[in-house]
Amino acid sequence: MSDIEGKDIEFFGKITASMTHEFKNVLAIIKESSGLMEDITKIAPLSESQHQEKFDNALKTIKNQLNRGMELSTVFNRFAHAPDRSTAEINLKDLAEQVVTLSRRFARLKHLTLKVAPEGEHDGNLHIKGNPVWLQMAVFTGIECCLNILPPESGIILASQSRQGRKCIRIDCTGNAKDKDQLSASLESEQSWKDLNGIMSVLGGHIEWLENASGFELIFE
Amino acid sequence: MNDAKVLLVDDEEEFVSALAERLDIRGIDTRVATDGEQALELIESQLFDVIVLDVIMPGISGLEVLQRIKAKKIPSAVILLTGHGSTREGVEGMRMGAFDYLMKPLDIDELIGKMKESIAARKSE
Repeated sequence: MSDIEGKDIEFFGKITASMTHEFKNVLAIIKESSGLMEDITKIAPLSESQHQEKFDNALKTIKNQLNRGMELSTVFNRFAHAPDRSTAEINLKDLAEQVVTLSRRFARLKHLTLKVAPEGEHDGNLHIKGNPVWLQMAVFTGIECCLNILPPESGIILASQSRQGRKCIRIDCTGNAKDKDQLSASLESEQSWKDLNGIMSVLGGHIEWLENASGFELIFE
Repeated sequence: MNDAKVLLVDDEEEFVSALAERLDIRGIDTRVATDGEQALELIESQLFDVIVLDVIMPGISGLEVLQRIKAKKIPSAVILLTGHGSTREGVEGMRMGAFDYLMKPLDIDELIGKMKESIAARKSE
């Protein structure tokens, strides 16, 4: 049985990595083809200016969506490669950014904003060693806990931090977030919170509330 | 770049055709190959200043093509295209003698910039 333990994740990773590679190729073709359309209209503009403007706007939309697709594809490809190794050295800020991008749609559906703190609010270049799938799962579950209890128009902000030599990801709830007592009471009654504690335990880490209880920290080392 | 000869190698025919057209509009003499074997035939029949080479292709991979180019001491600069999330292949390719690598999807101005750099680097050797 132990020979096939983890094979499901490995299979999932292989297929998703391959498919994201295919998607990237599709985007690359669309990018070059739309770029060629742009090049041609620069040489030979459309005869009627109203059409030129509509054409240009349509090309601009294609470009914007391409950029969006490329970002999603890159992040998803990185996610799909996570099962390649059981242990890897991971930059905490990159981890936060990766999972925030993967989770953004969940936040949007609940009218919540989800982002990574600006550059200056992260503590240096922090790296941890761990299972890439489980690390992403931990950060995602932390976000999910907040998504499950926060009211609309609230915000969730992630930052990589160092606390007395320990490396962590801080998850802050802002805006219309519940007051601190309600927040901790709501979170601790959630199944996702119990799951998060279990995942952090497997990773050899734990969770601590922020001093002002506006959120919590996932302490990894 | 107007005197330069460029070879594009990628198994995605629509990608490489559109890119070749765009380079052609910019006055760059461009040939295309859609697999490693075809690329090697072209490389052995004419000298290219720059070869833009996809890393992952069916049959002979881009890194294998690069290896054969270096083994035959063909002086063309090689720029690798990698589409993977990791840059392992790109770094490996540079260790094998590629000039540089770029991630797909490309930015054509970035590609042309790299090609110019590679040609200038060869001239100064």
